[in-house]
Amino acid sequence: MNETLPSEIVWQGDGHLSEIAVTALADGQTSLLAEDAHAHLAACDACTVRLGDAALRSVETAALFAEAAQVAPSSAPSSSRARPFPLLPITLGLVVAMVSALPLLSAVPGKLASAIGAIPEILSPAFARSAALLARALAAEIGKNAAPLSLASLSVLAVSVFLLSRVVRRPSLSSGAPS
Amino acid sequence: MTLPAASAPPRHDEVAALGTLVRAVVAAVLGEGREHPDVEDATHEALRRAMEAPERLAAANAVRPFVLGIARHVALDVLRARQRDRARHDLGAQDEEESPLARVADPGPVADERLDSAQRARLVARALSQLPQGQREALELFHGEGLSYQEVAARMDVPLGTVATWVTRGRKTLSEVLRDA
Repeated sequence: MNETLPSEIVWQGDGHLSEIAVTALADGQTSLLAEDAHAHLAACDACTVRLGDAALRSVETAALFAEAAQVAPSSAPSSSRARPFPLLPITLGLVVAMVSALPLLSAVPGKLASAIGAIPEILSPAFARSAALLARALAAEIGKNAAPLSLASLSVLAVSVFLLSRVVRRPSLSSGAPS
Repeated sequence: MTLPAASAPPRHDEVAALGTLVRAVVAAVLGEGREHPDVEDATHEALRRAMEAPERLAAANAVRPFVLGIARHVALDVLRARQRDRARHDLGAQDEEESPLARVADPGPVADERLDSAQRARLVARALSQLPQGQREALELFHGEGLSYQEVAARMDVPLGTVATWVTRGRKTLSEVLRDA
């Protein structure tokens, strides 16, 4: 392909090369200009000086881009860099945990069955007593102490959620501390 | 047995092809016409230095910035020599180091050269973000990916003249923003 720049953007009204043409020459895109543009440049001091300025600007801009490209990856904040998912450590940890739990796992089915069988015996008296107590308490308290009870329950719930969230969040904060 | 004919190192042709640009850079730095003797001398000197530094030439990522950088340095040397001569002429026996012209003759770093790399990278990123999308993309493809104007036009699916216009305007705006920073 031997495409050239259209003549209307190559020439200025005063007969000299346009800034666009001079810039293209300065960028080494010499094949984009027709022979008459090259002939003019070879004989024109004004366009030669403009070409020199444009060439220096071109080289300067190229150097800035190259420098910016070198600096950009290393200057990125560490927190914004993508960290690979720690698949290998997690897998190894799971494997070790499973291997060490193997002796216990063999006894699990029997223990599980007896534990399930004991649930009704353990829970039914306690559950019945608790239900009766709760019913009595509710009957006595509802109406006069409903608001404080609700408030206390909410407080206990909020404190529990707060403590739980701290326990769950702590490991990720320590591992992802900003540099 | 005949020895193989001596051939020019591979990049010398590339250097020689930059003669017009080297002359233009020297003329721009000196503010003289193409035919001025100083421009002529400095152009030859810059091309000679580029060709006589084969290790540096081979190590350079791109020949054009390497050679144009030499041209700029050679032209600045000529400029300094001129100003030293003028200072001697104007100030007679006065110590050259005390001459205000001598101090001016040693050009310090421009504003963006004083900044460290990270600052400059941030400045460039900010300046780029201020450009219209077409200009920004054209500059990134040309300078960042090293595509030609025609390849940029094909990639962006726009006419070649549009790419040339975007590169010109984008670079000009970028220079202005960085100069004012």
